[in-house]
Amino acid sequence: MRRSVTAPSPRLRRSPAAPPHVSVRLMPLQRALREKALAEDQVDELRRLNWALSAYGRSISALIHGADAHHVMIKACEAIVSDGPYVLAAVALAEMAADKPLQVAAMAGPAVGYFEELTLHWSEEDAGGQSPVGVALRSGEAQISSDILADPSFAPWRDRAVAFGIRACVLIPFGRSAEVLGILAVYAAHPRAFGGDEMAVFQKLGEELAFAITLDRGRARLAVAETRRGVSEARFEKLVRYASSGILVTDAEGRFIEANPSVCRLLGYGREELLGLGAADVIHEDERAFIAAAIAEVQAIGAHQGRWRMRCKTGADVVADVTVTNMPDGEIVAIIRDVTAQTRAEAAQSAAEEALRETQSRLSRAGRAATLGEVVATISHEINQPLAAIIANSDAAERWMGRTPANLEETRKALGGIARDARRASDIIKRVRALLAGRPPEMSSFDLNTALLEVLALSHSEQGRAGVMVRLQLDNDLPPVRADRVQIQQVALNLIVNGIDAMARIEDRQRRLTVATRLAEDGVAVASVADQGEGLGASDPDRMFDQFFTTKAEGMGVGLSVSRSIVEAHGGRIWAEPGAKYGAVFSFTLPTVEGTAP
Amino acid sequence: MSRAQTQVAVIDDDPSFREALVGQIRSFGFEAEGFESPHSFLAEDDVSKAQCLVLDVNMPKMTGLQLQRCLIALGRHRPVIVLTARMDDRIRAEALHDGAMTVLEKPCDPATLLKYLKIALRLFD
Repeated sequence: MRRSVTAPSPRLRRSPAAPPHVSVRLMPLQRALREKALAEDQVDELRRLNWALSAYGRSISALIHGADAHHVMIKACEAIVSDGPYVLAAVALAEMAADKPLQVAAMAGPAVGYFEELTLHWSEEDAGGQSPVGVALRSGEAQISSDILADPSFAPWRDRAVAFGIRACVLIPFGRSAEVLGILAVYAAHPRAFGGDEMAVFQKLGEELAFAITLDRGRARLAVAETRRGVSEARFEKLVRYASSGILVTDAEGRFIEANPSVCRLLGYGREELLGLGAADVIHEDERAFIAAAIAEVQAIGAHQGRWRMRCKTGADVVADVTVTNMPDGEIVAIIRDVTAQTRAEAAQSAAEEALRETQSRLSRAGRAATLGEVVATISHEINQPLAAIIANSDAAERWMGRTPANLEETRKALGGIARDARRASDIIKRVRALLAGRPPEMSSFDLNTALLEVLALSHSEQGRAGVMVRLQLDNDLPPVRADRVQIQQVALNLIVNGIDAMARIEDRQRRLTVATRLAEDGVAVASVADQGEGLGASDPDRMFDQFFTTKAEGMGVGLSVSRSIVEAHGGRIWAEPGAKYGAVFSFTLPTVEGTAP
Repeated sequence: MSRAQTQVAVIDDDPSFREALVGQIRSFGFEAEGFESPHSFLAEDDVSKAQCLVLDVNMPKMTGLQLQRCLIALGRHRPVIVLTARMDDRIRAEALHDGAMTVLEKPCDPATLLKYLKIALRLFD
């Protein structure tokens, strides 16, 4: 007779009956016998409950001792069959494969042969699935067969069951949440061997088995996760180990607590040496003062990026781009990328560019100097020839004259040569003067301020290199001047470059160049360039503009004479005077279109 | 001039200086002839029996020093006075190395020039 048993409360119910107390009273034998039978029934029930509880206890013990699910199942089965009427206990696990096989995971008892060669399924389509086991698994409800002989659902397995001494069974499905995990099957040698109390215990045991299995699966998942994590960590370590960038981990106090091989190589320390050192030990002494600021930045915004000069153990310098990140645990990770070579290349490029600028600057200066130098060379060579001829002729004339009688013919010839060479020398000078002027002036009206600003822009690189600050005091109401714009710009450039040069050795004050324009009372424009240089000294300001006169070792004194030629050719004046406190002021005038041209 | 032969050959590309120098040397009492280039001198050297050369260093096509070396190579070496507009140690050393008597800077001091001319010409006396 099969009946469903609704799942009882997980709480273990105490036996409804008090411990047996057999009162011996005088009563009729039959009643006495009946009462005795009743008492024996109660004792039996209690005994069964005791067995069930004992099995439960041992299973729990195995579980508590950390045994895996399989071990717990075996312990449970063994505990169940160790005493009492139970001849077979088995735990079968439901597998989720398509044909839903049932895997006997543990069994114990003298009737274990019952399951041999027995393929169990719990699928509804399968014949075996129609067994009470299948029904129990599918329904999730405990099944009980009080007497196999009387249970038609047991018909297919009845003979086999009887052969193994089985008369009754209870099938307890167990699971977690909605998932059916398996079934606990307990078989007894006697019919009606299961009471409600043992059922409850077995059901409770089923729950524990489910818990053990779930725990096991959890452990397995954890193990998988740990394995994965281990693999991941191994990969991560590989990443750190073989990263081309240096990686340093520091504690909150800035001590290195981890260093990868790259950073060890970069800084020339062994890993052990590096651990315990701090940023101050590996940052170049010139930059150590900035460490505190970088740390403050990391603490404030969680990160810092910067280019640092680092000091190797060997004392060599490396330049590194450092990215520092604050970790939530207070540790700091620094990624260090060696950019020494790159920086050197950049520096080389920058030096090359600087050299190029220098060359350009020198060229432009040499251009001016060469023009003047060429003039000088032309003068010396061109003038020298007629001078040498004149000297030779005059000597010859003297000798011809001194002869007795004087050779007047030869004397005249020599004197003629002298006159010719003197004219020739004069022509050369005229040509040189024309060369100095360069070309016929092209007069135009233009804004002197704009012209000066253009010149300042031209000499910008020289200003920057010389650390000169330019101050402008331009008269915005200045009327246009009438002059050769290019020539005036040459004069201005000359004065500006001179001013910059004059301040080259000034260290105790600002190297300031003041470029000013104003309209003088007589209607002429005045441009002036004031430097803070060494000044005119004892030199005569009027002689400043004489050719070859210079107070400076690499000065451009000849430029001043050209400047004077140009300015005077424009009807202007150029002069020098001492500065208010330091330096010199060079000024020149030009007629304006409004003023009265001189 | 009574002497039929050219005693001093003046080789300089500057006509006015060349003419003046020839005049000056003649006023010293020597026979002189001017040549505008080393090539013109070499072309006429068969007939020019110059015993002494006064050479300008700086001439186009062939410099005075090259002419000097050329004459040595031709076996027609004779005393050479080198004139230069700009005295330069290298030119001076080269000229002296190649056998020049002296190197004088233009304009040259007449007395010095005369002294060297006398020495040069006496060598052929």
